Amino acid sequence: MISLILSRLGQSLLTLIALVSVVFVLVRMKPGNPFQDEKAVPAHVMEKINEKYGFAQTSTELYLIEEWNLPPKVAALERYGEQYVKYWFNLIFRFDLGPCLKLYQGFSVGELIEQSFPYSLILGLFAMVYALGVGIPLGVVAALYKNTWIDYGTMLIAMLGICIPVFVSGPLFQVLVATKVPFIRTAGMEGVSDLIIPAIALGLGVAAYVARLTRGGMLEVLSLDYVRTAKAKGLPMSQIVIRHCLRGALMPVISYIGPAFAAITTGSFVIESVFQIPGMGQHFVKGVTGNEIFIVQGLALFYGVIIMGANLFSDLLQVWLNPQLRKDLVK
Amino acid sequence: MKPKEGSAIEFEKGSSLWNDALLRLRNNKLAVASFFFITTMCVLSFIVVYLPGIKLDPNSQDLSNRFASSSVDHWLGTDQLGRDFLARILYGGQISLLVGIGASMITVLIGVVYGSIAGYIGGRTRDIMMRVVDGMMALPFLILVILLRDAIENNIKEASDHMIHVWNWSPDLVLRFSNLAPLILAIGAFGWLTMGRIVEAAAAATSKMEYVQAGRSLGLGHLSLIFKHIIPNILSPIIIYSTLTIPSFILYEATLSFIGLGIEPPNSSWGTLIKEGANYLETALPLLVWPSLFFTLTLLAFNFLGDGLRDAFDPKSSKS
Amino acid sequence: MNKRSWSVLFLLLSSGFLISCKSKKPAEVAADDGILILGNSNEPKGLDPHLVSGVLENNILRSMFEGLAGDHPSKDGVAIPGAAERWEHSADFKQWTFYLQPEARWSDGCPVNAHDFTYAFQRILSPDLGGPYAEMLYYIEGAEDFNKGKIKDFGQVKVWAEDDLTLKLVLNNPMPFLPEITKHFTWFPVPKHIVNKHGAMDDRGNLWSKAENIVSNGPFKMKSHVLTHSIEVERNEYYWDAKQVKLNGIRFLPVSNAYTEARMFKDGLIHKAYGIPSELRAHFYENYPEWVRAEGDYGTRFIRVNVTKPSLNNIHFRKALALSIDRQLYIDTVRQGGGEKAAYSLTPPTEDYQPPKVFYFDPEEAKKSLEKSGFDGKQTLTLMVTDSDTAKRAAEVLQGMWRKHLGLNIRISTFDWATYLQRQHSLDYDLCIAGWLGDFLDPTTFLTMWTKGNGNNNTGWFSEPYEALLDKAANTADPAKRFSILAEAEKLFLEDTAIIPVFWFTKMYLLDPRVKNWNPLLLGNNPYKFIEFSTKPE
Repeated sequence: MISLILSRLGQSLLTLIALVSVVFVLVRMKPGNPFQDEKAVPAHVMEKINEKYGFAQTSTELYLIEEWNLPPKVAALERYGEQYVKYWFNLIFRFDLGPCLKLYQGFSVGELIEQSFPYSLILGLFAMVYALGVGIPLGVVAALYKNTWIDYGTMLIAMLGICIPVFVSGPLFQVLVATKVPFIRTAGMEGVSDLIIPAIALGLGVAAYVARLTRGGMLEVLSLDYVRTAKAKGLPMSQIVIRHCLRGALMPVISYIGPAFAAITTGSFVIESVFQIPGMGQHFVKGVTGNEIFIVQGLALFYGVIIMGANLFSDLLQVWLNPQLRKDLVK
Repeated sequence: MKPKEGSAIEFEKGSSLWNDALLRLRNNKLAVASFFFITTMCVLSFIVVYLPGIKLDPNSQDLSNRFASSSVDHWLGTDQLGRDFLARILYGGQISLLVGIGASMITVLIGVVYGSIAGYIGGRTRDIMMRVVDGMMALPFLILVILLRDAIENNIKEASDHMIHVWNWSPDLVLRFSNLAPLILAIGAFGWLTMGRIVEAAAAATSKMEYVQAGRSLGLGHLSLIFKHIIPNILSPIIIYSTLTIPSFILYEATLSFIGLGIEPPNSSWGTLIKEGANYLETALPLLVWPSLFFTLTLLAFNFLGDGLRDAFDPKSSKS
Repeated sequence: MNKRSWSVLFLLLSSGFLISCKSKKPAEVAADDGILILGNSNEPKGLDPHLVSGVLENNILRSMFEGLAGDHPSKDGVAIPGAAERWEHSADFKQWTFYLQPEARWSDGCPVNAHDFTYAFQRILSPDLGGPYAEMLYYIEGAEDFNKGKIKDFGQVKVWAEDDLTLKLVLNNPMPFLPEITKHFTWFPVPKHIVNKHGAMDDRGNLWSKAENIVSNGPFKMKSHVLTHSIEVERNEYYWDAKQVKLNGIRFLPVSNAYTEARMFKDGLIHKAYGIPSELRAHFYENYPEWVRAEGDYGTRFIRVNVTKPSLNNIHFRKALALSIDRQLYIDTVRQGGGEKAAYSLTPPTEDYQPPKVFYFDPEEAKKSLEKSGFDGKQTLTLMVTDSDTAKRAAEVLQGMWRKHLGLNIRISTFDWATYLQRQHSLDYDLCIAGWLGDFLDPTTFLTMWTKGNGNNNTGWFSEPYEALLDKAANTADPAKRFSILAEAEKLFLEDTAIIPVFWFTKMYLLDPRVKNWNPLLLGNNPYKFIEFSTKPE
């Protein structure tokens, strides 16, 4: 097991390096400049800023464009090389992800993550707990009463979660619940309890996936011989489900929760905006649309860590739950 | 997900598996009803709206008749710019069904092939393949979309100019679909990642099963093992997941159209209609309710049809 | 569950309701504490007055800093004493002397003196700082040259401290409205001793303006800043006019979702909502008219035309586009009852300045103009907008009008913000929906940007006679004469139709009726020191 984890960590590190390199180039290809604004910055000021932050073309670059007829975006790679080395140097030796350029002046990307990630994490965990807590029982019930009205009913409820996207469920909760119930705030983040409604809105869609995948997995397992034997022996259904079925039935769910958790914690932009939560999703979107190269690089790296961590976790869980795979490992 | 016309012939001469499956599917009333619902939706959106005599124009504005309620002229009323809402929903259905089904098909194709190969082969190759998936998941898709959007803008403009003014195609038609293909490809190109992971996990588990091991020792080829023995056995998560991705893609289209990749205003899709409708929550609820209703019913139909297909084609369930 | 546990649960729930029904809404509690809670639309980009350029940053900076002149609580264009207690000018409005408040202190107790002002001016004009809005100081003789690096010595810029409390300025041109300009945040002083403590004067990375370091001279000082959550300022006891300040503090919330903001207001969480989304305007007008405020604004929505593109380089074609916009209908459908006014010029009319009436709606004339242009219809023009629901709806309405009145097929293209700006900047668009908010009450804030090579022009249009008129106006001291020259220049520019004005902005927002002294002001710079809560309930 330990060697498996170590090798996975090594692989993930390599993937992260590749990821940062790709993002590094992509974010610089995007049209626009972080310092440009609706009211134009005068050309001479822009020049100064561009020079300072490495957005200005160097003389070598101009030479490459003129003499070698390289497209400007390709010639710019010359300048990026140095910045690339510098970025890694700062990251490794100073743990510095770079500054925020125009948005959040005076803050570093590290500070940004430090301030906003706890909110995103708690929100994500709540949403995940909700999704699993609702999705798994619904799926199990539906499978046990396959092709009856109970099955259709539970699946209908589960699926409404997908049909109501966050940009509808958020405002809907606000109008139906928050403005009516006195002790629930419409939006804002004053305490952990303010995260409950956003978490439900965020978890609705995931719950639907979980319920559907659980139902499918349960149906598979229920048709297996050992379950039939157990049934024939006359064991109570609840015991069969918990002791014999769930472990196998949850396999598809488990391989889904890795990416799902990562998607929830990193993709909560809409919910953050609707409920006014100071989370991380908004920084990423604002960073991308505002050409904030360091924010985008830093958050992409951080997201990469989360995604790979979550995927590793769900893979390990899978190995641990599947005796066959475990046996392989021991060999 | 719906069977193609050509495949009916295969059913006739094919193995009993296909015949059995078709029979089982026919007996599943909900699945049959769902199939007809989806077909009706497609016919309404793609054929009926273009029939002569049907006067449904999704883009003609009547600014003096905004937010009208249902009437003989406008069955579902009018929207914020006095456009016939039924027309906007049906025309929107064209976009949404195309995006949902098209992108899902790409997703299934790439995800299943990639995932099952990785899961079957295992070892180093599998590790590399799966880390590529991890890396792609972490890539900021938004930047790629914006880059793509900016890169193709001028080409699309020229192309649609050419189609309208040289080939004399209807400008409505050209402007409705000109920006759609890049969107479907973009969603498909990144949408398969989770599918790939799910398939990989299932395939890895299945390839350890006795019958696959037996097939291997019998000297069956790798490809035939993958396509004949592994994929049919992991159909369940594939079908479930892909029927679920259809609605997410339909909604995702709204987000991407918002930053310009996908449909261009004034054209509508279910996603954009729902997104805009949400802004009228307090003031004009029908603008949210009607498109949500069409969307939800279609999605449910896809899922129940998916369940039916899963039951019908699952080799394990044929035993019961 | 048995009967008893049900009843316990019921008791618990009902007591929860009782407690919460008694408890007051957050906005009520805050009002009792003298804390004003304002929706401020977004997280400010920063709090260094020399490095920001936006309205929402301005809203926060105005609470913490004070320029030479202050805003009058209810009158536009009237300057009251600020950091300066009085000022004098020469007969030609070129030489100015400001006498600072002898009592003025920074929020750490150090005196505010004239050197802080010269230091601030030097800092914003430093070429290496790259202050985006340094242009606001170009009225001072030598400032432009210093900012552009043509002179290295700040001593050559004609602003100096005569003594600790006397500041002298020499301007390039006569400027009767200079006190108006000094209200702008680019003219605010910065604490020399604090800035120097945290790094070099012209270093963009200087952290003096972070919440834990910042020191200010205005009615309020920084209390706390949680990123994208809130900024709270509290009463500055060292402020020279602290007696006048009624509030104990202000909390600025960066609520970027306008629908959420409106719902928060309804739920009693904030005292003022930054705006009202157009979809909800009718709802609030009908149900809560006492909350709705609609006031004139100093800004214009217009369509930028790229006059370098084929067809659009034809003035008759541009006129056809302009003539076929039914502005009132546009306002009714896109703005939905916001009370905006159809624009016949770029500059909104004020008491002093009457802009020329150039634009109107006339579909017949539009058709004739289109014929005159010889447009063959073999081209699909693109209307570029940014990615917001309102912008999209606006574009759809315009598209519909051009189709109806001219038979044109126009594509609508949406882009993310940075790309949208970049494409405007590199003239890679045909038509685009844009807007402009005036920085100070004078038509030049709208007119000087259309000169050749100006970064805000972005139309490809320029004209020598136009620039000559602007120069002439700049050298005219008599206000009435100056305005008539500016009107002439505006007419020349608008008749060429490089932009198509659509409507003049209206500020629409929700305000708690308890908030007193928040009066309609054209620039919306309501001075916080006069705001208070009415003591009796609504």
